[in-house]
Amino acid sequence: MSQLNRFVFRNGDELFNITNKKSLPVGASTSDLEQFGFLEGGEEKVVRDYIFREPKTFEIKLISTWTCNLRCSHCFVLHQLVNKDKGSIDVDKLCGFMDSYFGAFSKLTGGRIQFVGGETALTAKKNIEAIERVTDLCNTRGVKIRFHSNTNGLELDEDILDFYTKLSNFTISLDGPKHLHDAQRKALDGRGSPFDRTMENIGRLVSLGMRDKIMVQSAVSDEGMNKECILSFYKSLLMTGVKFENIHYKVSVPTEWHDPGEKFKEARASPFPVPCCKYRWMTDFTVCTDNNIYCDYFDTTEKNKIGSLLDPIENLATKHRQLIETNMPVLHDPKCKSCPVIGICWGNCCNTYNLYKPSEICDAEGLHERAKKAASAGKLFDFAMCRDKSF
Amino acid sequence: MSATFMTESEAEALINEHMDELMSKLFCATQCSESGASTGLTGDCGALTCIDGLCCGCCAR
Repeated sequence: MSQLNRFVFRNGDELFNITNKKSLPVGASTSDLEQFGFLEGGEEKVVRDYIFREPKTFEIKLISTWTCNLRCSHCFVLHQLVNKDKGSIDVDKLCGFMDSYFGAFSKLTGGRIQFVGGETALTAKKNIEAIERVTDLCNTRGVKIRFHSNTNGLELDEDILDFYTKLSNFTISLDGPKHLHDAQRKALDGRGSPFDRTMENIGRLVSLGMRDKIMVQSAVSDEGMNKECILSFYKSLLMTGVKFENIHYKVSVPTEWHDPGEKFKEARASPFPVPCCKYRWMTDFTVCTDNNIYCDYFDTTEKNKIGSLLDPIENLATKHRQLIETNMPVLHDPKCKSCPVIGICWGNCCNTYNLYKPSEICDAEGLHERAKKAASAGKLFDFAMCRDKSF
Repeated sequence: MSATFMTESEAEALINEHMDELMSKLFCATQCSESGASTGLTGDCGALTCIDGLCCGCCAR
């Protein structure tokens, strides 16, 4: 008699596989249990099947330029920034790639392109061309597409306005109140306060009817982790017309977390429902100004290169799988390979903490205990997807 | 819903009403760097962490 494997929990009146997130009735047949990866011996296959399942949605981070008009102390890609990027996205190649991609994966129903950089507004005209061409392609293919951009909001002209108009929405970076923002964001042209310049442009955008599209996000330094800074920040934005619900005051990785210790271990007892963005097979890509495709926005070097926009889609899919098989930490860490809750951990985010041996800083027991409590209440799915934090 | 431009007192009242919630959301649920504000990678909903506590990259799958 085959036994249920370590990924399967009794969740209320059903069986729930915490890795592939599938449910079966308690009295399910052996063939069903085997088919859906509930039986002992099938664990490795379940993990692979989940990671390499056919994509239904996609996320493309389009690095429109590495040129930036700011140099920010906390920037994750500061080493990549240039005063003038010699490369640029070739829209013909991008559309060719996307057409092949849609053709190869028929379950794709929709996705999103995010313009990132560098400062995306500096390539507004080119971005508009990409939006128009990709939209036409997606309409032909019956794929829903949305566009989003990050921007520092430092500049605003007719082209940039046109670019913003064509986006679903856009996120303006403001790192807390003026004194904190200006301390970590330095304008290359040295003109005035970056905070004041961006705030002035936000006011113009609101007056031009773009209020609903404006999101504000902040990567605040440790000094901003207090009520006074939150009050000051929100007040200035609300009085400028930004919607309360569109303001996201977040702390950049706190200094005390740079050396992962107890705080980080605490976080590891919370579910991380899907693999890190670096390891989402044929779902999450970064397209760079060199017209190559990478699996990591933070590190567009050869080790993360999936291929060129011109490569056959089959080759790209194979290469992406190879990169994940080779580099994804949980597929190599012996403790992870025998962990019952790997399906709600996946080794967490590798970018922030350079976590290449996840079990070195791990609270699998804590996570397992919480999962068992959620299962006994029949709420394991909600717990696994971070929708219920009461356990 | 509020008017487009709030007065200072209206803004203060709204912020104070939600202050505890704002303080509790300084970090994302998963500690994924994508939802960490350093990258500014947000979703269509504009949130770094959505109502379910996931960043948009995680939520998308």
